[in-house]
Amino acid sequence: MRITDNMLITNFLNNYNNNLERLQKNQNMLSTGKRISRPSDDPVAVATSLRIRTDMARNDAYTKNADDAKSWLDITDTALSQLNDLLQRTRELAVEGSNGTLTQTDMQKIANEIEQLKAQMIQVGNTQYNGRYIFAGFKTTTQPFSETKNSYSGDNGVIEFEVGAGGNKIAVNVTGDKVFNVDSTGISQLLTVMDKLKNALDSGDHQAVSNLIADVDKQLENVLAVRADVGAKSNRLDLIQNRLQDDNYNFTALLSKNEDVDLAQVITNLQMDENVYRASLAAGARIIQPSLIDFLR
Amino acid sequence: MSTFQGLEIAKTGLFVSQKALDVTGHNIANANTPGYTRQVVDMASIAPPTTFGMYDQWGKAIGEGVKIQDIRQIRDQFLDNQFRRENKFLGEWETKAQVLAAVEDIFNEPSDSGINTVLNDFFNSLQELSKNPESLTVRAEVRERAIALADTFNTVYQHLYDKLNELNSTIQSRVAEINSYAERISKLNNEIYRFELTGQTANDLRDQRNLLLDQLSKLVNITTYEDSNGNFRIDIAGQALVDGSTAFTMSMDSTGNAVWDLTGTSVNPSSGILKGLLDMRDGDGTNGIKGVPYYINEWNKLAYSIAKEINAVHESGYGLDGSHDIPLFSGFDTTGAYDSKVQYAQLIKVSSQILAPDGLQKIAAVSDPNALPGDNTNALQLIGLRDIPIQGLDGATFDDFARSLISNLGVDAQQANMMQQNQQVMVKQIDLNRQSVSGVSLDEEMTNMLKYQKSYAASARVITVMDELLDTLINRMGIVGR
Repeated sequence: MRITDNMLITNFLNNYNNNLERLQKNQNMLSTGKRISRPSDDPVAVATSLRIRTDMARNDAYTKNADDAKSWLDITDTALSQLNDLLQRTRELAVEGSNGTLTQTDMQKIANEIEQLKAQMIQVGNTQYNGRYIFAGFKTTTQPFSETKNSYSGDNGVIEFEVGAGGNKIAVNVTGDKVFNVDSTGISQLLTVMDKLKNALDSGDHQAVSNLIADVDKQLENVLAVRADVGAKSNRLDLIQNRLQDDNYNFTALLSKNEDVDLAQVITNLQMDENVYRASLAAGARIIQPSLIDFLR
Repeated sequence: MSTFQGLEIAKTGLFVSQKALDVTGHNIANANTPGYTRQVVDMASIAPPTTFGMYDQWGKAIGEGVKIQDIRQIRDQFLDNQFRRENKFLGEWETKAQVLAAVEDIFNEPSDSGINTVLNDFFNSLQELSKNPESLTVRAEVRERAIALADTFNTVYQHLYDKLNELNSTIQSRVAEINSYAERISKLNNEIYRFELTGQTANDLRDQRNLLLDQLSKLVNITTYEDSNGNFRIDIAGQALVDGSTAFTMSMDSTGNAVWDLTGTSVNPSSGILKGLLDMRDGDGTNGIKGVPYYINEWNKLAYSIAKEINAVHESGYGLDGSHDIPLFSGFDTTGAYDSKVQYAQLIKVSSQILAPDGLQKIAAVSDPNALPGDNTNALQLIGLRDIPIQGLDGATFDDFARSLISNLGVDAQQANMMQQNQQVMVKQIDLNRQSVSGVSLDEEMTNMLKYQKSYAASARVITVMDELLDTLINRMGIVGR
């Protein structure tokens, strides 16, 4: 092949340019830490990246939802625990009041405490979380219970949070009608029992008080059952939270594997490209210089 | 034999050597001229006259020196054709790669501001709404995210539309460029024709024409013919662009098509920059040609489907104030059928009811008006839309559709980049081959220069010898005893 001076120069420029381009690409990778910066770099990897990012964003939302659900259930559990304590105390007082040796004054004292306990129960029933009544169903801005009447002003709406892909939801609230055992006429059995107990104590009727112990036990059982349900949900949430955490870890690892550069490899390549670049410059300086003109007198 | 024949022979040697030195000088002077083809002097000896009685006394004839037969270009027509054949593909793919890279920039993925992220943010704000439907703060977040979503549609659409306009004006200027090439080549044709009537070859004018053809071949697919009469013709898909000294112009008609001015028929280039531009401007996915309109269409589809599906659920729910049947997105009839001519991505916006000062109340998280305000089932249903295959999106979910749009774009852009690189290598290689044949080698020219210089000097020496011979003959003979 016949070689001309311009061919040497063109060839050199082409190769020099290629080397520089490669150098720039590797430098770019190294400075951004990313293997892909635009879809055409690797369409499949970019699509995967976008999918993982979406999965991560959703996972974040689920994690936040699960955390919020957990707080909600914790508040509920605390409230139910208080209610349980109040009922236990009621039972103790009822047992005490059923004792025939008590005087009317003693009975009156117990009746007063029962009234206090009822007021506290209503307060528990009106527990708020984040400005919302947790035992009111969907009527979160309405007080579900009041001191003046034993009826329930909430509804039986179940508030659900999404805590997983594919509509995996968990109910976070327990409605007041379940906790306070509201019957079909809309009257709370729990609060009615408290009223009955107070009345029986007021009238000094030991037998009636004794009879009401069974009713108090029934309410206790009910609260326990609701609490067990909340506890089970809480457990399920723990599992879900763990899984979400694992998922998040996996997604992060996958994303990194998909779009982050292999540093060792890039640095090695960069070093190599740098050498080639220097070599091409040196070669260029040698090739281009001499010609016959330099040797003619 | 004439006494002075020796002088004559030496004289032809002098003249031819000088001419050859001129050509060498011309070559060296043009060593870096683009498109220049090296020229060589074809020399031939002058045969002795064949007329009877012109032999010398020995009965032997010798020639009469040297002459220039031709000053010839060293050019390989085959390589020229090959170069132009590949150059048009380089032009086409270079253009496509450029446009698709611009479209990639417009969609801006993967990033924290692309449609993928905006969708994530929007749905995550709905998640917050589902947890706290009474909160105005959360509702404000939903409204902002919805505005960001609509904005993303508007902005990307606007950029794509601008790109389309830019392509249109680029096509216009490329058409003008082709016309200008045709005009210049037709003028050169005329000059070459007139020059060559004298029987000479118009080497340098031909170089100019070849250079113009090389440049033109990147713009559009051309075929060239030269008949024995020296009539030179350029065709684009069978239609003459240049025929001898006549240039046929093209222009852009009102529909944006490149048409021949003479016949009004479409130019229909099969390759070259013009074809690349037309494909990018008109490609809507038919015949697998995916240009800017294809991406605008897909973008419109996504905007339409999101507005339609979200609105359908949103309108079925109730706001905090009990409002019902309020759309979240507007700008077009979201209950109407999809119309491929409507630019949904340009029109989509958050509805005025939601944007109004009391609009936050109207975001519908509740599906039962009796369950206000804590009911979040409608918000959950809005979230659920994300996992539902949408009929208008060929059975894909919002996310899937957006993703496949990006990955489609990636595949196309990658292919264009690869084709461009391949063609670049090919064209460079052919050009090197061409340079190998036609390029000026300074070392070679230097050697030639020495050669011609020496032969010039030698011819001059022959004249000196002849002079001495004649001097001896004239001045020193027959003077014995003088």
